[in-house]
Amino acid sequence: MELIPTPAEAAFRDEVRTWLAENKPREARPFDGQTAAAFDKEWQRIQYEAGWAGIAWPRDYGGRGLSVIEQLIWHEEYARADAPYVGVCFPGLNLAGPTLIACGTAEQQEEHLPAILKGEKIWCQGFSEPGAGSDLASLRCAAVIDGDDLVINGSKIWTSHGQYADWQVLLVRTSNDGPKQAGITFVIVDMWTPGIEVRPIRSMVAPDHYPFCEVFYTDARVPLANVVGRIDDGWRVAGATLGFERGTAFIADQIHYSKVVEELIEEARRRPDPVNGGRMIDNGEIFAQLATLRAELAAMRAMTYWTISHSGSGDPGPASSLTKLFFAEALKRIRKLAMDVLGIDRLELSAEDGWTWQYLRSFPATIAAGASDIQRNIIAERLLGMPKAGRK
Amino acid sequence: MISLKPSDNQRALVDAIDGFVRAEMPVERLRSATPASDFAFWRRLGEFGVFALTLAEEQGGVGCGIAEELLVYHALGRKLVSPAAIASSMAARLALGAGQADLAKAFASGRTTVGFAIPADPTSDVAAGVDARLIECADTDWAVLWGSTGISLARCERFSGQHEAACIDGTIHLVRARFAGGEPPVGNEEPYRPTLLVAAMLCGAAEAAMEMNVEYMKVREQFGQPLGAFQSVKHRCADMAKRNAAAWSQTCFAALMLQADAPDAAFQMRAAKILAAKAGVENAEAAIQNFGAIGFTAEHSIHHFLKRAHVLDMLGGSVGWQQRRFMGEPHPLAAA
Repeated sequence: MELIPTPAEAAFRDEVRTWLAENKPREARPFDGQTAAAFDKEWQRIQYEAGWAGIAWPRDYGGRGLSVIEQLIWHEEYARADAPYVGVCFPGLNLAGPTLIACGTAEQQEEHLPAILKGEKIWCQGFSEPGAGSDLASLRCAAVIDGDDLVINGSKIWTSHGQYADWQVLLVRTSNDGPKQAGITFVIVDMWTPGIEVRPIRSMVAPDHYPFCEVFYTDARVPLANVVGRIDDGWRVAGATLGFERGTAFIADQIHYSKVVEELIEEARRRPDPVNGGRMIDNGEIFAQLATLRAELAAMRAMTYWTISHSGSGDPGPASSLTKLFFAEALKRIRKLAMDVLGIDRLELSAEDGWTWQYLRSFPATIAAGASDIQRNIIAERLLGMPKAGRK
Repeated sequence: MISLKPSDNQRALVDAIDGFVRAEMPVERLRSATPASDFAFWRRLGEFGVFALTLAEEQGGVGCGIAEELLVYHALGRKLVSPAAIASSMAARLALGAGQADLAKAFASGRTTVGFAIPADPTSDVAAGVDARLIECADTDWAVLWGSTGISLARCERFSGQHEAACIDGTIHLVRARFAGGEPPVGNEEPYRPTLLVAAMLCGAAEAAMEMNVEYMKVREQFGQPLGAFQSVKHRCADMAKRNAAAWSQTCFAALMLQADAPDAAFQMRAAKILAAKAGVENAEAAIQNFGAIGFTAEHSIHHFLKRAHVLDMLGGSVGWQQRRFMGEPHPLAAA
């Protein structure tokens, strides 16, 4: 346990801060899906060309080859500069990319990693199915080997950014023998393959909000060369992806949310409390909740340092469920508290990034990437060694 | 470079002290403990250097930093060692800072014990006329005055109208009194470091309460299966682990910021104390619920964890007071 300030890190931080101040987009990120996706890709390309994409990725794949600490410094400065949300580039940079670095073949790495960093290709994730949500291992989307191809039939659901994606990381069932985890294969799929149909799903947030999709596969042929790991070995590969997703992938979001808490504190200082008099911040309950959330978001950063200290840039394992659970719950409480602070103005779903819109948008936080109930099971069973529930 | 993982050297230092505490000070000792009875272990703890960790070696100290001290106090917290340990460690530093080397040596060795005096009103300092509580000042000549802006050292005889009260934690000595003032107190330090040591003890206690509960939930059977197989039970345990992870990560991070004299040291310290106090109290509460009726008995040790957490919450400013101060600290992301 130590802190050794290094001139290299300080210089790196200065460099990042200066570059972001001079180069971050002047205009806000658009809300409309297609326009936003184009904006995200262009901003990613600009970052790549300036050498800021994949800071902790190996140089061979177009990354910068630095440590995860520099990556963290980048995210901290990125949030400080109010740079735009990563958007549709998220799954490529944080899920597909790290998984291919860890488990992909040389050909897969060469083809896809630079394209992800340049913002050329958008990725999505095909894990959940209508019949396999929290019980992911019971997935049934089937793939059979035919010559040099896998032929895929079935469907996936809750695929974020599916309508904009060029590629997908997909879990398919290649065997029904043995335990359900043993017959799963991890494959990467070109979304333009014949036989793949994407249907956006409207969310509860607003009439124009389609954050995820259902994806249908009808005799879709994917080369066997696209399998990541081995046939029937996909559960292990997916474990790495989920580890990233629950571990360090959300660092940027977490840092961003500490700023959201500061904005909410400002909002509470500004808004009068018509019920009790004074300002909203003078309400003891609101004050205490704001202070607790502020402390929790500070701890989020410390937990990230903790994770990095213990597992570097690798898969943090089941301990990642602690940060995922903690962050998801804090995020939802921030958004709910905002409704109290807003008073009557909470009724207006005006701006798409307004507090009310974001409150409605916050519900997936404790559902996506493993519901909080599942995270608690993982923590209790795999970290604390508690017995599994009796299963019939 | 920042690491929140203890190095091999740090582990070795803690293991030596932790080994002694585990062997000699099991929490079961508290079943028959009377107020301030942990002072019986003080000379042994002094021999291990517990009260002189951050003193320089030429002054008879161990020459460690706050990181090592934090790890030691986390281990002491796990066994609910009296928080007077923090008073001894602070008193040795204060006496040394005031040029009283012999007195410092007496505190550091554990030969002379010392408790705390805290103001009833957390927003004030321990000034003349202030209503105060003396904690673990049984048969001690000295008290560490711990006010809102600083800590110093004074003789217990400077407190008038002393009235012994039964403490929520029956193993802690509690006296109501009024500070009479008089000769100027010895030394002065900011209260950041001892507040982090309290947070470390709270984190240790919260972790031990969870472990004690988890072990029982693995073996106690009802409806033909271990209680820990029931989701409502195991989810309470998972929430304990979540609170531990957040509070202890933040406490370690805050200690490194304090050591580095970072501009956000106070911000980080207050966040740590808030989360550690919540973890200490809420983990013990949840554990009692999981234990069921046995958790409500005097015989079981879990109630000591709940009560101690409340005592520790009052040291260095309760959650409510820390929240008030914390909201006045600039955010590190905005301060650049």
